[in-house]
Amino acid sequence: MAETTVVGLGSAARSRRFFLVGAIMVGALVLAAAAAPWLTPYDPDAIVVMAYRGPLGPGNGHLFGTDTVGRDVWARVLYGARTSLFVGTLAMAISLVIGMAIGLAAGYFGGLVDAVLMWVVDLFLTMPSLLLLIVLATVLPPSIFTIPLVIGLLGWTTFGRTVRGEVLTLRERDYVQAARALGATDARIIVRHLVPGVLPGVIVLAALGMSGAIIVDAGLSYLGLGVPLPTPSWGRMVSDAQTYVGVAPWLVVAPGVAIALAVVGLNLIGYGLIDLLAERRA
Amino acid sequence: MTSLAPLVEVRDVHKRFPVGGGLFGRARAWVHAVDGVSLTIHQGETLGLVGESGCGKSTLGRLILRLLEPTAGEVLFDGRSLLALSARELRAMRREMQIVFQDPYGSLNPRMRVASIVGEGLAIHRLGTRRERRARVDELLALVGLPPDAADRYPHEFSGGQRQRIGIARALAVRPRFIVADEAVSALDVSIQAQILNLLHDLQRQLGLTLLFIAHDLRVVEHMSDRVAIMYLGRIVECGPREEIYRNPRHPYTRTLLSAVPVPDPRRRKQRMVLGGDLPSPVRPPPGCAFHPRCGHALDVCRRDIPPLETGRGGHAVACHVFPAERVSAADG
Repeated sequence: MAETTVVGLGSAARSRRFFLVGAIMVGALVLAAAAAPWLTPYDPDAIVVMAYRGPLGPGNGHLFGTDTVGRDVWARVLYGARTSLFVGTLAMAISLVIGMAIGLAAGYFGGLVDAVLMWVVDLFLTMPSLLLLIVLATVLPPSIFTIPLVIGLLGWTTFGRTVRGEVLTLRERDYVQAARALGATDARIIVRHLVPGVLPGVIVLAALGMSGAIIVDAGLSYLGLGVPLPTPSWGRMVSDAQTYVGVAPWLVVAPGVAIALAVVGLNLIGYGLIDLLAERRA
Repeated sequence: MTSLAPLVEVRDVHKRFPVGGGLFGRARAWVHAVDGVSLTIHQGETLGLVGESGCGKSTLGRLILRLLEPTAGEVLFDGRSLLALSARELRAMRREMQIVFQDPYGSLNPRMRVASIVGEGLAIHRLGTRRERRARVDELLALVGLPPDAADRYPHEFSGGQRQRIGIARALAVRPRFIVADEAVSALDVSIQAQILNLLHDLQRQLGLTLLFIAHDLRVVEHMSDRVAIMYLGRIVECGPREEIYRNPRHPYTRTLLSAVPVPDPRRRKQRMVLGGDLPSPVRPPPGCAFHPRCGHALDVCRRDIPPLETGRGGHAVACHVFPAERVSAADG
C-alpha cells in the first residue's frame, strides 16, 4: 500500500536499478564538488592560457578545453557542481520546511486553518512562477543565497499539498486516536506520529524537488539572473558559450552534460525510492 | 456489583455529524449518530453495549472518552463533568480512561517499536525515569502474555491477536480505571477471540477495571458483562442485568438479536427470527419508534411516538410501546 501520491514504477527490481543508477550519477557529482581542488590543478576563475587565440579544444592539459576568456572548462564544471548542488539543496530544504509545516498544519487542524492555508497554496500556484522568479531575482540583491531562497519560497506548494493529503488519511488512523486518548498534545502527535508517516513521501519529493531547483537555477543563470558573476555556474556557462556553439561545441556540451547528469540522477533516485519506501512498509 | 458507585454517567448525550456541504457551505443534512443516550456504568462492572454496525455504539464510546465532542448532553467521570475540563485538565484526566480499538492493524503505529508504543502513555505523563518506564513495559508485556523480546520488535512482526494484546498493554500502562473496548475482538479469528476475551476478563478482575465492552454480537458480550445495553439507531432500546437480557428479553429487537446467536447443539432447533431489511438511514430515521418498519408487532402508536426508555423490575429498562418494562412489584421493595 503506497501512501505516496506519486505513482511508482511497478516492479521492485526495476526501482532498485533506477535508484542505484541515480545514486551513482549523483554520487559522482557530489564527489566532483567535494574533491574539485584535487581533480584539477587550475583555479576555475583564473585565465590559464598564455596567449589568447580563441577557445582551445579539449586536450593539451585541458580535459574540456578552455572557454572564451581562456579559463579551464573542466575546472569550471567541477566547481560549478558545488554551486548547483548548493543551490539545489538549499532551495529544496526551504521548500521542504515550508511545505511540511503548512501541510501538517492544514491536514491536522483542518477546518478554517486548512481552508486558509490551501487558499495560500492556490494563490502560489496561480502566480506565473517564472515571471515572479525573474522579478524577484532582479529586485533582490545578488548573492549566492538569493536564487535558492527565491526558488525555495516559490516551490513549496507540491510539498504542502502532498503532506496535507497524507496527513488527512494518517490523522484518522486508530494509532493517532490512541495517542490522543493517552493524553498526547497536538505537538507530540504531529512530531511522533504524523511526521514519520509522511517522511517517505517527502523524501521522494525532495529528490524530485532538488532536480527541479537545479533546472530552474540553470534557466535563471542562462537568462543572466543566476548566482553573481565570478562563481562558476553551469547555466551561465551554457549561456556564455551559445554564440560559439559552431566553433567550440565543448563549451556547451560540458556544462550541459553536467546539468543533465544532476537532473536525471536525482529523478532516478526519486522515482526509485517511491517503490522502495513503499515496499519496506508492507 | 451494580450496588457500587457510578463511575461514568452519560446524560442525554447527542452527536450529529453533517452530511454534504462544502468547507463554508451549510451542511445539507445531519446524521444523528447518537440521539439522546443516558446510561450509567458502575465502579468495577462491565457494561456490554450491543448493536448493528452504524447504530452509533462506537460513536458513543468515543463521546464518553471525549475523543469526539458531543453536540449536546453531559458526561460525568467520577462525578466530574468531562466537558467542563480545559484541554490541559482533560489530557491529565485521560490517564484514568483508555480505549482498545477494533482494528489490530490500524491501531499500532507501524514505525514504532512495541516498547515505544506500550510506553507512550508513560512518556506522555512523565511517569518514572526512562529505566523505570522500560521495566514497566516489560511488566505489562508479561501481564498481557507477550514474550519479553516483543519490546524491541515492530508491530508487523505480530499476529492479529498478539497485536491486540499490545493494544491492551498500551491502554493499561497508565493504570486507568475505565476502559472502552471498542469491538476489541471483532476483527479476530473465533479461537483468538476467546483468548482475548479471557485476557480482558482476567485483567478486569485482577485490576478492578470498569469496562465498556462494545460489540455487534450478543454472544461475545455474554461472558464478559454484568449488564448489557442494546442500541438501535442512536438510542438505547433495552438495558439491564445480563440474566434479565438473556433470559427475559423484552424488546423485539433484542429478541431478534438473541435468536440470531448460533446454538452449538444440532438437536436443538430454534425458532429463528429474521430481521427484514436493513438498518434505516440515520439521516432520516423513521418517525416514532425507529425499529417499527422492521418490527412484527408494530402498532399505530409505534409509528407516531418515540417510546421512552423506562426502568422496571430488576433494573430492566425497555423502550417499547408493545412490550414495556415489567412493573416494579411490592415484593421487590
